[in-house]
Amino acid sequence: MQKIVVNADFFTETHRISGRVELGAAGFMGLLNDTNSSLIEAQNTYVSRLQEPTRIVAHGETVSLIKSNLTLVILPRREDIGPAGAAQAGTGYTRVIASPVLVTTPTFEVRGFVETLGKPDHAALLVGGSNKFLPLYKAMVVATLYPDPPYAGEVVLVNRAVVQALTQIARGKD
Amino acid sequence: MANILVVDDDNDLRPLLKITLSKLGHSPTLATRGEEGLALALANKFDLIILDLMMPDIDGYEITRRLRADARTQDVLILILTARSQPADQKVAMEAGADGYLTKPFNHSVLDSRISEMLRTGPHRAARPAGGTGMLSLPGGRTGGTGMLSLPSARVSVVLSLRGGVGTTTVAVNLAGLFARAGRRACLVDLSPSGGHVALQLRLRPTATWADLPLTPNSNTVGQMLVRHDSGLSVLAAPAEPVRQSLPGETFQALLEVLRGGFTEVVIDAAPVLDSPTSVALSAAAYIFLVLTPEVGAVQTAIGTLKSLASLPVPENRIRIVLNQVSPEPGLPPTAVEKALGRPPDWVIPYDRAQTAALTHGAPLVFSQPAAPLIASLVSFAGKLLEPVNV
Repeated sequence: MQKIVVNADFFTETHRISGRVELGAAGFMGLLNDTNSSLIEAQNTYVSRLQEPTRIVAHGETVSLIKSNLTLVILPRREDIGPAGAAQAGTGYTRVIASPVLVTTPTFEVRGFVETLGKPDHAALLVGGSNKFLPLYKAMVVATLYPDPPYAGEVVLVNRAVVQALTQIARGKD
Repeated sequence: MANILVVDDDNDLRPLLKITLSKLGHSPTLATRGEEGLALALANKFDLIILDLMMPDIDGYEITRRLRADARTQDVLILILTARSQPADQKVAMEAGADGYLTKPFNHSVLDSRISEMLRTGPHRAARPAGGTGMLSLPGGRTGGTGMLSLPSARVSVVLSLRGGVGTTTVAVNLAGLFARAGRRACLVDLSPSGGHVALQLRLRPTATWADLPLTPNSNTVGQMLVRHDSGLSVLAAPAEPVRQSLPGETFQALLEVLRGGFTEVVIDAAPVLDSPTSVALSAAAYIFLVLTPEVGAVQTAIGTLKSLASLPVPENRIRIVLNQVSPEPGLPPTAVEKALGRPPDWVIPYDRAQTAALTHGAPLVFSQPAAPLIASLVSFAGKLLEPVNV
């Protein structure tokens, strides 16, 4: 099976961890939702504190990250998320609607777009299905205590277990 | 052919870079660690250094700082090649003294064109983002590059109102004029598709406007479209007569990248509509000046605009509310505006009768009457603006 290596920024409640992750055909969503492993192994990782996200405080050849303790992951490229089916929890004949939302966690607020088949169902997004992470597209992330600088990514995967609130900030396409 | 030092701890990428650079006719030298790279850079003369940011011993930021601090390497070209793609990472690297920034994964042709561009524009002076004085001629000077390669360095300020007649262009012209007066390399872009007035306010007679831009503009084509004001301010004018279509979003994106490469301040007089170029401008803006007058209609439009900006999404901390008193009638008090908007105006511009004469004579107050109340309020407010910001 072909493997690809992607760069990602992992965020916990306190740290930014930049590194490379090897992905299979299921992409990043497949990796995060793989119930056979609670860990993600990232290579060539660099750790920064949220207070100073550009200053590197530690380096690790390999770092194990506990999936459930991650708050969010920022991917610079949309294609790294994996097949559209995994990302959108289904494919079919219904048009995909992108709706702008704000998601809050204890440390971050994330603005971006959720893509749903039909109108967005908050329950389905937050607690439906078995996906552990909610993908937001073209997203901007702000750490509430350290709002400067903000972060941005084509895809931000937010751990649904730490989401406090999700609100639609404008009406999506009908 | 150029002597290029590659400093990268990625064992897979390094040999690949060596092959690529050799094929391009360059002479590459490889270093696997920051210390090793630094020692090589100080002991030898290189035309360009390709530098990774994340390395286990010394990070790329620190190496850049040390190279700039040493007389032997203060002028060497430094291209950062990194997986760190956040704007804050770029900013810190540029502040440390890098000349270019490219994120991994990268396309080899992109790397080639970036290197060629940096070598062509010359040593470090070509691309260091600094205040500087005077105006940079884009065709012969620093170029903005193309696509993902261009290095955004200028600060972008967008002056916006979705309601006409509130003085958006006046604010944009005087703000850009203030930057020019302060010695910043400033460019003012008039995005109006319905007959822009920036050129009129500055008494300029542009021979070309953004409507003449090709679909993918480069530094040469953009340079030909700019008209220069006596103050040193460069202007990209809007068509004098209304046009049916605004600038395509991708064209404006390319234009903005060129401008960000050639100037330190880019001020955009946005069209009163959230079209593609305005959306691109808003997403790139460090500051968004939302202009309104103290009257019910303008306040209602401003409330709607704030909601729209939140949905784009644009961070609220980039938005500045500008309450512009365009007539001698007092209108709604600032407290009422604050109550309606849920936040106080950041900048209240008093009514200034001299503005009418300024419009008539094509002599913006920032140049013709620096002591006018409008400019005094601008200068007072702009003290914060002229501080460095994180983009």
